[in-house]
Amino acid sequence: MQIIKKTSINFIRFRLIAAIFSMVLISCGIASLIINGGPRLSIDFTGGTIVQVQFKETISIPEVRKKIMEYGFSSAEIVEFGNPKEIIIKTQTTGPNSEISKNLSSALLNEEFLIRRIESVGPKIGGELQRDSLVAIGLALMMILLYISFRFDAYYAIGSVVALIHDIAITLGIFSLLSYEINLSIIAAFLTIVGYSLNDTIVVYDRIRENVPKNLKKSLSEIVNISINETLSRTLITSITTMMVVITLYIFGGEVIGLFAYALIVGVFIGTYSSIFVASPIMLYFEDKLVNKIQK
Amino acid sequence: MLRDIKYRFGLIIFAVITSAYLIWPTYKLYSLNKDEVNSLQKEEITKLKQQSINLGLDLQGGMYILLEIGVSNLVEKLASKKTDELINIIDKADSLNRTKNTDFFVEFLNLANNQNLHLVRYYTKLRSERNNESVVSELKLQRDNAISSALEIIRNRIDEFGVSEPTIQKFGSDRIIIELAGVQDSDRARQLIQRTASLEFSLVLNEKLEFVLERLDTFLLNDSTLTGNESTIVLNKSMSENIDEDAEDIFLEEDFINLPANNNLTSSEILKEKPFSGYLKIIPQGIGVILNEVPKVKNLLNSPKIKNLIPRDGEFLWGSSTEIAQNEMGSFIEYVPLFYVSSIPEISGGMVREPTATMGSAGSDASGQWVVNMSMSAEGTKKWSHFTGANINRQVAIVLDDRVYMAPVIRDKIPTGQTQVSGFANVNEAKDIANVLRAGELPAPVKIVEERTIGPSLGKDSIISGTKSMLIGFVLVILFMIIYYRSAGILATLALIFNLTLVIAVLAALKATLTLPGIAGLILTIGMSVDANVIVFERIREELRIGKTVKSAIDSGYERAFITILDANVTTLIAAFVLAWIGSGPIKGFAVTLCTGIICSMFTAIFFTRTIFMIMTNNRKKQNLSI
Repeated sequence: MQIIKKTSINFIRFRLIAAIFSMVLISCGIASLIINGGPRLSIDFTGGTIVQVQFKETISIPEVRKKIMEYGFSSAEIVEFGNPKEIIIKTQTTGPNSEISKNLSSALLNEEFLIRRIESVGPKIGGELQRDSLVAIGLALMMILLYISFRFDAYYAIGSVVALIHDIAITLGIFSLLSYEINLSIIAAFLTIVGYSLNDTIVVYDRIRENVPKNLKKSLSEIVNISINETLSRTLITSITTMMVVITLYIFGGEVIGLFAYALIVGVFIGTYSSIFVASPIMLYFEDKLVNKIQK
Repeated sequence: MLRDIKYRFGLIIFAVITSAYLIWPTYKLYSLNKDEVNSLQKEEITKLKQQSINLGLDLQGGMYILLEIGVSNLVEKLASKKTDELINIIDKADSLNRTKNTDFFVEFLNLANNQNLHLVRYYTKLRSERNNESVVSELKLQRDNAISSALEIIRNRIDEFGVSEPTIQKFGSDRIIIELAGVQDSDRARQLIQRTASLEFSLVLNEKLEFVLERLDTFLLNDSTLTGNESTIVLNKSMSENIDEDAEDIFLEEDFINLPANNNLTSSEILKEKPFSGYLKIIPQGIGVILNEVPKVKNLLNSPKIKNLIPRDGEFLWGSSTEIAQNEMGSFIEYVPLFYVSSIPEISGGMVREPTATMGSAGSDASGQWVVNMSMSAEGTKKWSHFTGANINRQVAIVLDDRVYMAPVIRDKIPTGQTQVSGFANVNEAKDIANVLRAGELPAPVKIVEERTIGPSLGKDSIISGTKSMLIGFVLVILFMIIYYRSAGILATLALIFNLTLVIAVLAALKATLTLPGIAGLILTIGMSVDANVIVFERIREELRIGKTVKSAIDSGYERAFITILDANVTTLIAAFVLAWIGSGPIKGFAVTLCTGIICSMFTAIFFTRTIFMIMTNNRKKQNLSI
């Protein structure tokens, strides 16, 4: 069976449309980030407490809010978690977990419930985790840039890193638009997206590298087109298999892992798109600039 | 050619056997049913556990705690002379460290230099040179010693707590990570870890109490800002308090919350005349404060103005448990005892030997109660004997972490140093305190800066949903591969199964911990490791399309795909390595499985599948390939 036979689509011709499409997505994300005053960070980064409570019966959130108000949860945010019997309570304040569970027990005297999870992170730790995560993403990008410069060429490296920043920016923007929280596992998801999208990009680059000596008479832009077409089948099939598992993870993996899987779904989609429509055109653009400069 | 195949085949068989050997303990451990667990020796199970993949806290439930040692407290404690100037710069450095995340010692040194403070004068006991830099580096050394000894002490305390295989490790320069699998009584664990365990025997200064009370009453009569109904404020404050607030404050307030409204409060007429001492009631055991009014009195005592009025040689300390007594109207009320004791202890914890928790012997005062028996060092025995001899008929308070456990009246000189402490709420408290005293006093207070408690039911749900999504994802992927690549798809499926087996074997060999993100990493590995096969198969199809024979199409397909796969995987590995390096806990688990998955997929998707292709095309001249 074959989904994609030999194709000869002129992908480079779409680069203006692709650029506009990407720009629109990124600007929407940035606009949303500006309006919301930055990404919505979870307690992992801001410090605070989350409590996951499972009730025996379906409960109404306003009622729970009313009951727990006086017990130190006056500024708490309460949301449903996965099903109508389960809630998450988030506060910016921290305290010993045992005290929180005792306060909840006194507040919800008449309810049957189970505290499934309490996590509290001190504000100082939150700040440090925030810094470490930024360092992690920055460091990963730098090392990738170096590796690709070494294995390919500087303009390939620029193309791939621009594509990666593009992927992260769009995923971050979509999270901001949907007002989803960024927690530690989302940072892990971002780095996985980096790895995945790069994987795709490298396969295309590798084919370009192989095709250059074979087609000395053709321009680089033509070679890029041939290479994207030749690898298109693989790009799509890998996206399909990866998408299958991340969607499964999203549907069956439970609430805790749900947001992580969601970030991956967005990331795999954007990563596939960027390795075709972003990485190579950017590479071409910089190659053009660099080579022309030398010729002048 | 044939020899090549034999050698490749041998390597694959070797990998399979090694994996089976490595996975066996894990398989055995998790397939044990309850009866089998009971019939096995404890050592056997521990041995099995050591050889297998353990479940992370998020999968089996438990407690994760990140402790930070109070560096500023330590620096203050080490000073041989404590002037206001020194305390001031320690506090400043501490608050800079807290708010701006800068290094405490850098700030401390800067502040000292700016204010021309000669630190060597304050730290005469340290072996340092005269300049401030040298003193600070010596203090840093002391911090390192403190963290190592805190680590050892906490390990001893937890060992007696009875958690199977706790993780206790140093993290950074001043932190300790503690992971207690299966622990749900987080309150007890916290107490056990955080107690500084400073035990002191101090004289109760009843004769000076009247004078102090008069002083406070007079002051409060003239300054009404501190009085008034503050109990509600205290209630809300208890949550907004940072984790690093004193641990003992929590105890009374949470009991307070559970109480129904009580009408037996001190009448406002009394308080008009005696705004402070009005709260204090005479109870058979001494002086007590009505439980519901404890927060008010605490607030008063904690205010700086009041603190200044209390003479330096004395302090107010609360009792460890409540007492029930009759009030004037004849109804029974719960009181918390309050003591005014000397702030200079006679005996301290370092002099205590062999504390053990037992049941109080029949006939004694503590009959039927849990008590902690202890003896004293030679020096302690001498001091104790002298002290008891000189203070017959006076009360001595036995103070543990700033709470008075008991305040007996000295009847006789105690020459042996044998002492018994009672007043514990339950058996666990007596046992924990004996344990904590045995393990020793922490060199500096520790604060909990991060605490995560996961219930076992959530862990179980996560395992179920993780396994379910792994199975479904796996089935979907292999169905797709077989439909799309036919026989070659079956080969890719075999490679995938082989890959997962290898990953699990490597994780077992690394004694890795499987977390929920780790399971996600495994699932992602399923999706991404078939990629190597996809690259190879697509390449072979291309080669066949340009008219190559089956054998040469396979050969060049693999050869060309190898470079691509290598480059693509190395870059993914870079990202995964950074995650494994910087990330902690669950994130590390994810990164480790992803790394392992990628590396193993190189072996299974390229080496293994190629060997099978070689065997298939070796004997006969194959004309067509099902790909």
